[in-house]
Amino acid sequence: MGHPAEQTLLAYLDRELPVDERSTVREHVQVCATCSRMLDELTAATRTLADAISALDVPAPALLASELEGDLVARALQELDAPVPAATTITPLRRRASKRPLLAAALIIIFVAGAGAAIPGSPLREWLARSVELVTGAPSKEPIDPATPFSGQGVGSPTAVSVQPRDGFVRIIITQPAPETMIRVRLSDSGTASVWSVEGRYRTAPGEIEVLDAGPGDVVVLLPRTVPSAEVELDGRLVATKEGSDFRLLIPAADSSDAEVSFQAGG
Amino acid sequence: MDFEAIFAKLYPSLFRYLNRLTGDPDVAADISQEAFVRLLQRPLPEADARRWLFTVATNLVRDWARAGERQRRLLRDSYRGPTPPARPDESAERSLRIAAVRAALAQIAPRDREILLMREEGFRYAEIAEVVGVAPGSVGTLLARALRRFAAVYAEQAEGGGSTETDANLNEE
Repeated sequence: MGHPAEQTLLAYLDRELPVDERSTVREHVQVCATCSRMLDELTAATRTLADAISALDVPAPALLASELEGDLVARALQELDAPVPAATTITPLRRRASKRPLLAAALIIIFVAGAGAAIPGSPLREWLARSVELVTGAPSKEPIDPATPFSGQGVGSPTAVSVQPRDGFVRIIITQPAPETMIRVRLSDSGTASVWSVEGRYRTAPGEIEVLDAGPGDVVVLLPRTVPSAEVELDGRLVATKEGSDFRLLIPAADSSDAEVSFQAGG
Repeated sequence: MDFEAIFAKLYPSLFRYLNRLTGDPDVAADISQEAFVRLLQRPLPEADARRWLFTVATNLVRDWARAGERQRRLLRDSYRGPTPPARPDESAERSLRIAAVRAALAQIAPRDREILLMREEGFRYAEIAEVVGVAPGSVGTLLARALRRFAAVYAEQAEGGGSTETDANLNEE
C-alpha cells in the first residue's frame, strides 16, 4: 500500500479502522519510517492533549438526580394554568442517607398550597400507553390502547380522577372532592412529588403529604416519571400507584379530551 | 430508563467536557443541569442518552457563546492570565499551565475544540459526527488537523510565546 493519510493513521491509533484495514496499516507502519514517525507524532500529540486538558479539571459540583426532579417540578408548577399565589409554600425535605429498601428514605417532597382554577384533564395516550402501563379497575397486564377513551365518574365514588401525562410527569387531577376528603401521597425510596390544592390543609411526614378537607376545590398531584415508587390514596383508598415505569390508576378515570398529550414514548 | 443510574454515570463526564469546553465551571454546571433536566422530560434508552446529552449540551454551549460577551472576555482573560484567579493552594507553575492550555484551546476553531474534547471523553467518530454535526467521514481529518494545531499552539504557549488569534477564532462562533 501507499503511505496512509494522516487521518488514517489517527483512526488506526483510535481503533476506528476495520480489522482488515488495521492489519494493513500496522504492517505498513512496521516497514515505513516516515509513517512510523508520523504515528509517533500523533501518539505524542494525543498524550500532550490529554495531559494538558486534565489540568483544567475541577471536581463536578455535587448535584443529585432528585434536585433535577425538583427543578422539573418547579417548572411544571409554573406551567399550571392557575396562578400560584404569593403565599405558596415550597418546602424540600432533603434526602436522607439511608438506603433502600427503607421506605421514605431519600426523599424530597415539594408541596404547594394555592388557589387555582380547574385543571383540564386529558386523554391517556402515547406515554401512558407505551412508557407506562396503565390499569383501570381490576389490575391487568394488558397495555392500554392509546385510542381508548377514558371517561365517566369513579365507580362508587363521587370524586372524578383523571390522569394527564406531560413532559416528564404524570398529573393526577382529583376533581371536586367532597369537602372532608383526605388525600395522601406517599413516596418511598426517592424522588420528588408535588401536591397542589385549592382548599386543603396539609399534614406532612417524611415521604408523605396528606391533604385534609381537600374539597370541593380540585387537587393536583404531580409525579415525575423518575419517581421510583409512589402511592396516592383517597380517603384511605388506594387510587393510583407507581412502581418504576408501571403506573396504575385503580379506579376508572374521568377525562376531558382537549388537553394535549405530550409524553414521549421510551424509557 | 433508570435516570439516577444514567445521571451518576454521565454527569462527571458531561461536566468535565463542558468545563474544558467553556473554561467556566459555573457555566459547565448550569448547562449540565439543564441538559439533564431536559433528559428527564425526554426519556431515552440508556444507550442513546449519552450522545443525546452531549448534543444538547454542545448546542447550549454554542448558544451561550453566541449570546454574550462572556466567553470572549473569558478566553481573552485566559490568554492574558489564568481564569479564574489561581486559588491560594495553586502553584504558579500550575496557573501558568492552565493559562497555556486555555489559550491553546481558544486558538482552535470552536468546532475542532468540540471534536477534540469529545474524543477525550471516549466518543467514537460516528458519535462525534452526530453530536457536532459534521459528515462521519470528515471526523478523522478534522481531528488530525485539530490535534496538530493544539500541539503546536500549546507548545508555543508553554514556552511563553503566544499569538492574538483568540478573537479571530471566537468570531467563528
